[in-house]
Amino acid sequence: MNPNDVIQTYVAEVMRRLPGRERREIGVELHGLLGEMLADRAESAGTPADDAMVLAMLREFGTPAQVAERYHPAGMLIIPAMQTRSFALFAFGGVALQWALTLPRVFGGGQPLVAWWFSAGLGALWWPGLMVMSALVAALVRARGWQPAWRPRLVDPDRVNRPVMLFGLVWFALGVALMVSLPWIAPMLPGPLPQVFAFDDGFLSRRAWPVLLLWSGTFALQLAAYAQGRWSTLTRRLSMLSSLAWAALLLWWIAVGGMFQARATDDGARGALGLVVLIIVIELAYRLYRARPSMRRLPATG
Amino acid sequence: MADPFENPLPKLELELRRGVLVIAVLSRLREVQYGYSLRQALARRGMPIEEGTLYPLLRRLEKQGVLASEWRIEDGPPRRYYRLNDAGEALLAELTASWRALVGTMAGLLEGSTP
Repeated sequence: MNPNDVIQTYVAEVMRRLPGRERREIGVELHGLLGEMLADRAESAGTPADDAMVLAMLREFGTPAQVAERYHPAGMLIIPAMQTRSFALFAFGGVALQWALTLPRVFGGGQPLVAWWFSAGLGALWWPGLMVMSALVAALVRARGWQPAWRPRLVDPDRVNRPVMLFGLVWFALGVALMVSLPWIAPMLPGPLPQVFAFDDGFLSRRAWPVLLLWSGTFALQLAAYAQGRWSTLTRRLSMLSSLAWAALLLWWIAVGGMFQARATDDGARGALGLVVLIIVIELAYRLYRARPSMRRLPATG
Repeated sequence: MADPFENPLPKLELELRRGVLVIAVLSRLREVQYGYSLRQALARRGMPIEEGTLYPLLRRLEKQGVLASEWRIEDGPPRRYYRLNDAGEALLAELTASWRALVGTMAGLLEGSTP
């Protein structure tokens, strides 16, 4: 292979990666440039150009992919630099959490590893996929300039957003009503659903009742904050106590089991409650973190 | 992760030079030049630019409508020659004014700051 052939191969590799309408022109220009660079080198070295010389020159010039990239305009930024770390953390964390929840089927439940990999293992990748799709939509929104202009707002973490809270309270009441009436609704459901959602009698008579107290207490607390329009120190503390009580009750239910008569429903419910406990603990940790001495407690300047 | 003990000077110098690349290139294109001759003209005046940077920059400036180009075959391979068009001349004049204002500002800022 003579030096010109090497340059031709290199330029062909670059051209393959260029937009069709510019490919030929850039290729001819690049070929001419590399030829002149090589001639200069040979003249400086006082020897004819050879393979080693042309290869050294092309390696310094960059790989064909790098060279082609220089001719492309800057692409759309999908994940801004300040979000890269949290994006990676949430993407890996989400997959790791799903694997942690499903791998016990392999190591404790006897499911073959291959079967796990082709079901829950690979299936867990829906999460980073969803994150990438969301990031793409967000990038598109940014590119179109659809973001609302920034407006100054009062930073008051104790203030209650009444419309949002009212929305939450309505859904809270509906959810509680549904759960409380489930023992009476379940027998009326069609097909196998009455058996699927049939509560265990022992659970209803002995372990379920504290939930009514906690629901009532939580609802009253939220209602008080809604009425006052802000969280006070007392309601904040009571809210944290309520979260602790919820976590304790749910952990008790998970540990004892036997909430539903059907084994599969009971296992599913325990898994779901485990996730709820996890969310409560994370939320509590976040509230404690927010409650630490911070800048908002510093006296205002000026 | 970036080495905290690494000398930042080369990178900062590179950023400075990158900032003036366009004005340097435009300044040499009042006369018709092809890429390689332009690079040599800039290098002779103390502004070396990598070929891999210069050629895409020339195409970008042409797409932006400030350069005109034509292919010529003389004593060698076909070469694409570039020169400023009217929009390029106007842009160069504006950039030159900005540059001079910036130099004046920087001179004022740096006055007395040197040991």
